[in-house]
This record gives sequence, C-alpha cells and structure tokens, in this order.
Amino acid sequence: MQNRTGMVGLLIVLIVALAVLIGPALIPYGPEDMDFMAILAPPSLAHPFGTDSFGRDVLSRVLLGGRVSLTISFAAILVAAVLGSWIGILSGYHLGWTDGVLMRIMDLLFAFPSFILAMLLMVLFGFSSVNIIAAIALVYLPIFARIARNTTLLIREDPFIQASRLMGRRPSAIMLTEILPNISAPILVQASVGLAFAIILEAGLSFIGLGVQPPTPSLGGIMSDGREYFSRAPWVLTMSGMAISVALLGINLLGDGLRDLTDPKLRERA
Amino acid sequence: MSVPLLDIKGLRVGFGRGAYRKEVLHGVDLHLQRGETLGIIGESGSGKTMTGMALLRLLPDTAQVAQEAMLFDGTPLHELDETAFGALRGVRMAMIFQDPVGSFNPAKRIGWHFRQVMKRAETAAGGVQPTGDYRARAVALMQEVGIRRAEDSVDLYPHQLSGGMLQRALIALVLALEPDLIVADEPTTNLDKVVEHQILTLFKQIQRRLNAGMIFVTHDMAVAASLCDRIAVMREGEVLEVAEAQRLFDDPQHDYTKLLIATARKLASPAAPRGEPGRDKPPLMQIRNLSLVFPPSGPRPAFRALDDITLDIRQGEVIGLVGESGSGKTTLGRALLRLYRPSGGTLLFRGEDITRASDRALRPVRRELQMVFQDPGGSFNPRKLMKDSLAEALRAAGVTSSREIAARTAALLERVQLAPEHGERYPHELSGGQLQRVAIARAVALDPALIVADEAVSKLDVSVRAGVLDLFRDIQREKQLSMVFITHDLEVARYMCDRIAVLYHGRLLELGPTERVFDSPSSDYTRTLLETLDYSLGGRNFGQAGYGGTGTERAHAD
Repeated sequence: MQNRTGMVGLLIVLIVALAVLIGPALIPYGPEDMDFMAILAPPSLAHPFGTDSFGRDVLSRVLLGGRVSLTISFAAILVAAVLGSWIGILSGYHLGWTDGVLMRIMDLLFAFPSFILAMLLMVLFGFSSVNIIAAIALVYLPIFARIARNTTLLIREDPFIQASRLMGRRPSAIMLTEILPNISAPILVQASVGLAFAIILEAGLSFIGLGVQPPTPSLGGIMSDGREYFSRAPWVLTMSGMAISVALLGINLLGDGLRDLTDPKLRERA
Repeated sequence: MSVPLLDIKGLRVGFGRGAYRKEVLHGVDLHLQRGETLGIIGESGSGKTMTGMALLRLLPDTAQVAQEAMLFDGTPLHELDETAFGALRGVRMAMIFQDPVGSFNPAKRIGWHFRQVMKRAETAAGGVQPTGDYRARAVALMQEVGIRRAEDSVDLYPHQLSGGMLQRALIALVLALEPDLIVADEPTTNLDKVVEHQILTLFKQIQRRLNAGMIFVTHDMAVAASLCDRIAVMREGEVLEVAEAQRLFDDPQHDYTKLLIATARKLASPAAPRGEPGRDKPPLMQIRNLSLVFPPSGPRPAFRALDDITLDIRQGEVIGLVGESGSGKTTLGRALLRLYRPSGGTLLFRGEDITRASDRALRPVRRELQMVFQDPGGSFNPRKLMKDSLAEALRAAGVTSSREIAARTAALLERVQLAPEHGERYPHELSGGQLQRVAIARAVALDPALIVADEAVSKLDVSVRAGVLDLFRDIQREKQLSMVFITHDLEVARYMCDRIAVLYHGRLLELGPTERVFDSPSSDYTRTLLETLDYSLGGRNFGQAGYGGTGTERAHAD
C-alpha cells in the first residue's frame, strides 16, 4: 500500500481508540478519585499528566473524557452521515419540489455559524448526551446532504441507473442498491473529516459549559477547568489540549488517506 | 532514395518496474518520407497512440522509452536534451489531438493561441523578431482552412466555436507553424460525418502544401484507405504489416489485417432486404406529433429537441434513426422509453396512451421497453458482478426462485456467446464488446417488446463490431421484437435496419425502407449525408477516393 499518510493516520486513530477504550481500566485511580495530598501536582511517575485542583489524576480524566467526547462525536457524525445521505440521495434522484424543499431546509441550517447553531440547540433542548449528539448531527447534516445530492446528480443519468429504471424497479430500491454503493466513498471521506470537526465542536460546547455536564469528564470540560489555574498548573490545560490535537491529527491524516484512496483521478495515476 | 524524414527502429515503451513491468510497445519500426502520409490503424490498446506520443515525448514520466534509432531528418531524437527537443516539438513537429476542445486554453481567445504559436515559430527560427501583424496572419490562415467569418472568430473564446470549427482552427495553427512532421491522433473521430469529410479534405490539402510528412492515427479503415499513402497495422504493441494503401486492401498479408478488412467490407454490404416486417400488423408504438422542449436553464434558452415527429414503430422491425449529433435521435429514443416526458403530441404503446403516464403507472410497462446504451462501461453498476446485474433483471421480470435465476443467467450468458465465468467478473474486468453482449442479455432477460439501441456499437473496436451487430440481429429475429437502432454510422444503419428515419435539428426529414433511402433520398440533407459514404469502403472508389489521387500515385510523385 502506497498510502503512507493514511496508514500513519490509521495507526494514530487505533492507538487513541485503544487508549480511551481500555486505558481507564489500567490506571489505578478513577477519574473522580480525589487525592488531597496531591492537589495540582506536576506530572510525575505516579501521575504522568499531573493532577487538577481536586487532586484528580489528569491522565485518567483525559482518557475517560476522551472516551465520552469521541463517543458523542462519532455517534453524531454517524447520525448526520446516514440521515444526510438519505436526504441528499432523495433530493438528487427526484429533483423537482422534493429537492427544492429539502435543500432549502439544508440551506437554512447551513446559514447559521455551526457553533452558534449548536449553542442554540443545547440551550433550547437541555444538556443530555442525546441532545448533544442531536445538536452536532444537525450542524453537520447539510454537509452530508449536499455531498450526497451532488454525487447522486453526477451518476443519476448514468446508463446503469437508467437501465434499472427501465426494469421498472422502485425508486427506493434503485437508490439503495444502485446509487448508495457508488456514492459511499466521498461520504466516508467526509465522515472522517467531519469527525475531527465534531470533536472540536463537542469540546467547544463543553468548554463553555453547554456540553457534557460535570462531574462526567469531557475533554472540553477538563480544558475549561485547566484554564482557571493555568498559571499555577499549566499541565492540566496542556495535556488535555494535546490529547485533542493527537486525536485530530490522526483522524485528519486518515481522512486525507481515504480521500487519496478513493479519488479516481489519483487512482488512475497510480 | 533520400534520407527519410522520420526513421524509427525498435521503439519500446514500458510502464512499471520489476515484476509489474508491462511493455506496451514491443519494438516498433516505422519510417516516413517528406510529403507522405502514413496511416497507423489498430484498435484500442494496440499502441497506435502510444507510438505518436513516444515520438513527441508526450508520455508521462513513468513511461520507459527505449529505441535502437529514432531519426528525425537525420537528427537522432533520443540524444537531444529537453531544451533542444522542446525547440523541435511544436515547431518542426506538430501534433493534432482527437479532442479539439481540450487543445485550446478555454480562458483565452482564439487569436491569442495564434500569437503564441507564431511567436514560438519565429523565436525558434532564430531570426530577429519581426513585428508581424499576428492578427491579420491569423485571420488569413483561418480563412484558408474555411472558418466562416474569420475576422470575428479570431476574437471568440474556444467554447463559442463548434467542434468542427475548432478542429479547423487547430489545423490553421499547424499551418502557422509550417512543420515538417504532423502527428494527427484520431483528429476526426469526435466529429460528425459531414464535417469529418470536410476536415479530411483539408488535411490532404495542407499536407500537400507544406510538403510535410504526416502520421495519421485512426481506427477507421475507411478513413485510412482514403487518406493515407501507406498504412501500418498495429496490434498489441506490434506493427503487423506496413504496405501501400492500395496493396494493403487488395492483398493483405496478415490474418488480422484480413479480419479488419473483411469486417469493414461486411458492414459496407447492405443486408438482404426482407420486405417490411410488421407492415400488416397493428403498430407496436405510434408516435404522433411528438415534441420535446428542454426548459431554459440559467443563460441557456429553451431548446426544442424534438419537433412534430410522427412515426410508427412496427412489430418485429428494425428501424434506424440516423442524423448528426444534436439532431435529436438520442432524445427521440429516450422519449420513446419515457425517460423524458414529451412536451406535446402523443405516444401510444400497444394503443395505450403513455405520453404523460406517471413513473408509478409506467412501472408495469417499463419491462417491455428496454435500452442498450452507447457506453458499455457505464451500463453496469461498477460494484456488482455481471451475474448479479443479470439476476436483478430477471427478478424485475418476476423470476423469484434462486435456482431458476442461476439457470437462466447461465443460459443468457451462453446465448450471447459468453462463458459462465464472465458472470463472476466485475464490469471493469470485461472488454467493451463483452460488456455490450451482457447488456443485450440484460435487455433480453426482461422479455421486452422493444429495444432501443443507442449508438450501441460506436464505442466498440472494429473487429468486434460485426459480431455484436449480428448478435443484435439474431436475437431480434429470434424473439420477433422491434428495435430502434440509433446510429450516426450510415453503414451500420444500412447493415441493420429495415427502415430508416433521418432526423435533422429535431425534425423528421425522411422516412422509408432502407434501400429506398439509400438509393433515392428525397431530401438534400440526406443526399449530403450519403455523399460521406463515397470515401468509404462501400463505395465504388474503394481506397482511392477523391483526395488528390490514389495512394500509389502520390508516393511515386514524391
């Protein structure tokens, strides 16, 4: 496999996934165990990422917070990708008023800055995990809808789709078996790129207190705590921020790799 | 004999390295005299384009080129560095590509291209740069190649000219260079027959005027026959034989050449007329005053693609729709299948009005109206095995048991002369001809009453074309189905069809039995269209059409 970028990205993503999944179980302290003898202790062998103002182990909190943040982001992107592709295919296949109505709704969602929209939804519907997922999904929905619609438009006049129509098959069957498999590549790429943005969005919401509520750890929440006593204990903010950066780097590299892999122009050259 | 203008010996081109190395040219020997036209003919993958590209160093960096000798006017080309070669290419050696649109910078006016080329030619000539009036010279050259309103055209952008006009402009650019060698790669393949005829005439004229050597790459036997002095036949990276055009056609040496010529001759011979099938039965489809207007979109005004077309499609007949691109033949074919909704008129299928039937109401009828598409590669879902595509058609036709589907799939493949293992492959693993056979099988699987074949053989190689056409015909006779055969190729139409409908700008100009249309066309346009057949193999003047004498004469004259 020539795709080195993608392989490095995949490796980082796998390490991050493993760390947040089984990491917390390997650490002797729970994320909420307080050690008042070691408040704001700098990184050491006992606490590699140091401790926070309650004497909680930052590594443990980052790993568990990472698990929460990644799960929420992943679920949100999954929902956005599935729903968005469905809307996009429907729009691109039927065109006409179906397309008009669906796409104007998507435009409306697109018109808001993503962060403002997510904040609005959180304030309106409250702070449960399901609501965070829904809010992030709604922000990314129009992106997937547009990609799915555009790629559907590109292939809807292709002979094999026409042949399927001429067989008298139902539109839903054509969309599912003929169109979806042939537009899944760009959607997959967008999903991996979108995941990185979803993590940032979730961290941002938690950072300003509109996301996951304490005491449940989340990366944004840990960073928010760390900001308050950054001058005395810079490691809290730094380490949680680095954790986000590593996850984003891995996901973005993986996304780049996937794009190269599925871009027919690049593939032809290989 | 003088030093040849071009002498290539043992040209090899390969891609990849190690175990993955694949050689695409296995030692090509060619030579060319000044004023001579050498045709290279072969099918896709034969290496004919590769030869021209290797000569002009236009291959990608990944290609490995090796040769025993490559002499241009006595200069060994392979010893020149990039700079020295760059001074030759595009000045003394010119290339004309298949796609005239892609050869121009879309952001620049036509005149700009002339200025660039003229500057380049002057710089390369080494002389002091004369303050030539580029514009006036460009206009003069464009008039020379027959571009109408050249003074205006010089200020237009490439997209504002038609394909034929652009190809003329490209030839005018070549004239401006006054090169010693012209490599033309399928320069007329994308053009309509009538335009192709004019462009070929023009080629002959300018080549004579410049006294340049020309390599003319084509897949079309008839074009090669009419234009070239000598012809090289290529297959799979090797030159099978080179001979003077007349001799090649009169006395081909290689079996492959014989096959190509036999195929071309076969297509040129009209099929035995079989009366007018279905004349006394009620028509399968009645088209009455059908029109179709594409609504305006953006800056494009509304476009009337079909205008007042009245036509019956009889049971069991093959009717040909012929005309140039933009004549509406494909639109009509698709409108018949209700892939488009007509704007006016009526469409009766078995007496039932389907002009405005909804998609849902059409679904039961759909199965009976099938289509075989031009592009065999796009006709199948790239992510499905061939047998799955066939199985889907069978399921759509109401076959449910999986055992029966498997049995019928195998039978269908066999019927179109493919082996069962072809069913286990993906579309990109089959050749164009094989794909088109599966496409026919898929259409037949639905047991249709009508098949519309839209340029179904135009993208296929010459040697497989006849086989696919024969398969169409056999299946049509066997199932007694009606067939609408859309083609721009008059020979194919004559070979296949019982009746011919000639379309021009969305109107039906002429309709009649094939022989009648070919022997005594009633419209001027049809007559013009038929004149393009004269240079073809079918005409009396086979291999020696009127482009300034026969190949043999020309070769000796130099």
